[in-house]
Amino acid sequence: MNNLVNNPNPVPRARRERWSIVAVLTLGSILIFVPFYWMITMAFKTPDEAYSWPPTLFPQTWTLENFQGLFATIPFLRMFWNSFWTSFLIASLNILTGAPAAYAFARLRFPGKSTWFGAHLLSMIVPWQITIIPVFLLIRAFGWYDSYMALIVPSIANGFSVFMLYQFFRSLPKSLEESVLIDGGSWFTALRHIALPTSSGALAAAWLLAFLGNWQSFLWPLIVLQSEEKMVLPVGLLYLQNQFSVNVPVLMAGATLSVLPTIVAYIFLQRYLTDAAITSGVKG
Amino acid sequence: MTASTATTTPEKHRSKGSSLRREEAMWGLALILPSTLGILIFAILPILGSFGISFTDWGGLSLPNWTGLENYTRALGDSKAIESIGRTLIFTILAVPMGLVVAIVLASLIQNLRLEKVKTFFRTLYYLPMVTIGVATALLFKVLFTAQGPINLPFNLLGIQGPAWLDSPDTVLTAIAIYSVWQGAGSSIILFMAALANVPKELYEAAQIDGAQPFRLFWHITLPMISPTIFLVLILSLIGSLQVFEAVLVMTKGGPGDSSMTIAMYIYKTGFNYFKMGYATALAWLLSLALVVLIVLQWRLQKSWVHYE
Repeated sequence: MNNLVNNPNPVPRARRERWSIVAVLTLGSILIFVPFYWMITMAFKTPDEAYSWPPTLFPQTWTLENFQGLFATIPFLRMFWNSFWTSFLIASLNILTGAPAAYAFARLRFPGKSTWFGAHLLSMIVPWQITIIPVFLLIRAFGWYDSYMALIVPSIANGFSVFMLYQFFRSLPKSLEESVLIDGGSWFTALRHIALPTSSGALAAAWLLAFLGNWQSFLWPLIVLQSEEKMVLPVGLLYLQNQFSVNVPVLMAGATLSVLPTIVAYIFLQRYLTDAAITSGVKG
Repeated sequence: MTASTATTTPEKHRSKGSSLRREEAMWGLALILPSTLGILIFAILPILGSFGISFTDWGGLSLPNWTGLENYTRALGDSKAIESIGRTLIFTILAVPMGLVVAIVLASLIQNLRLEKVKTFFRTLYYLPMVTIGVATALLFKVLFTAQGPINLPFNLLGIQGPAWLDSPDTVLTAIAIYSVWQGAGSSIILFMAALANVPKELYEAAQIDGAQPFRLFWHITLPMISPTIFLVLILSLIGSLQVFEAVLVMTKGGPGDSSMTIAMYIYKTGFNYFKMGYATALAWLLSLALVVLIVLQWRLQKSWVHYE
């Protein structure tokens, strides 16, 4: 697209073009970044300064009182921990159940294969509005309302993880597994000793996406959990918003503390996640 | 394969082949069992169940009564439901084209950069909102969209009092659309970047020799070559927009008045605030039906503009 062939004076034009590209991209980055900047600085401003007009670009007096206010209003650390361990456990269970299933769908022949695979795909695309009420009923019937079981058990199987790993296993060459089978090994051996070790990157990516999905999910916990000490972070933030005593800087302190950890983790893990997002999107 | 070996080789081989076959089938079923059980109990069974519930007057507590098609006929005459569909469509028209254009432009600009590191930097940055908790960023934008918020800062510098975006029926859907573009652009950008990287360079070189200008190259080569991805992103963002919910619940709860009551929000309120579970599921089925029709329609239409290799 940087066509310079017919330009009699190519160098200045190429340079100008490159700089205008960088300028537009920088403007876009500022638009992405400013909300975060606003959130972080406001979390450190005194209420007086936060509401002053015109707004200050940088806190005049740094204060931690908003964070104190946050911890006084909701059990923030408890909620953070709840979000973390449930997301960690659910993502691990997703891979534990999803990887063998994905492998079987990609490689083995067995009766009803396309039906079972179709069920996984259907679970992935059906709008939540359809399933949420019946699943809620199931949970209540099992006596799991307001318990972690309600959060964890319905999420053990994840059609999306299965689909993503299925795409990956299909792209692996078959020759290594065939040599295991010819030597008299079982399919399980082929999965455990050949397929899984060669796909650690894909497994990590699927795990990360599953973790992120659970970390962000808020509607289901909002519906099935009630006690404050069991609440997860997104619901806690919603709850914080509904407290009359809470002002905007406290809210921003809560938002900052819940947003920053995943941003930092993402910066280190971005390569895995981006590849995974491309794979699942392009092939989905 | 097994069939041909069976005809040419003695019985022994044949029985060995079929026992291997059986073993393969057993392993297959065993490996899919845990995942499939979960899917059957918590996805397939609920889908069937919700279909049943949608034909009842069930309210969550008492026993349901069979009411036949009543919920569905009621939906057709429910002006609140119809208005909420209209609002959802307006939101979609605001959000989807804006998201597509922003993502295509930014992705092609990033793809034009030379240094891999700079590319990664911008891609990572634009993707940041995707890895944050949606409730947190929606709360953040609720603050940004107040009359005194930074989004109005440019207006204020010009001496104009900017609106309280979320408090006025005229601006509330636009504000939520802006937020969802901010939040979702990153995922479309990486899809477009992947597509752009796969456009063969020779196509541009040939056109450049003919003296084509950058904009023409973009229009006649780039866009057709990435049209399958445009189609994919279009479908994904249509599905997302027509079900917009989380941002609405956090930022406005459907207000002011009903001016940001989208269909997903209306279904949620009907089911979980008014406990009309039967009616809510019927609405959910109608929404899904509309989504399926829309996707099929787009699928038909794509033949006229999507270019496959």
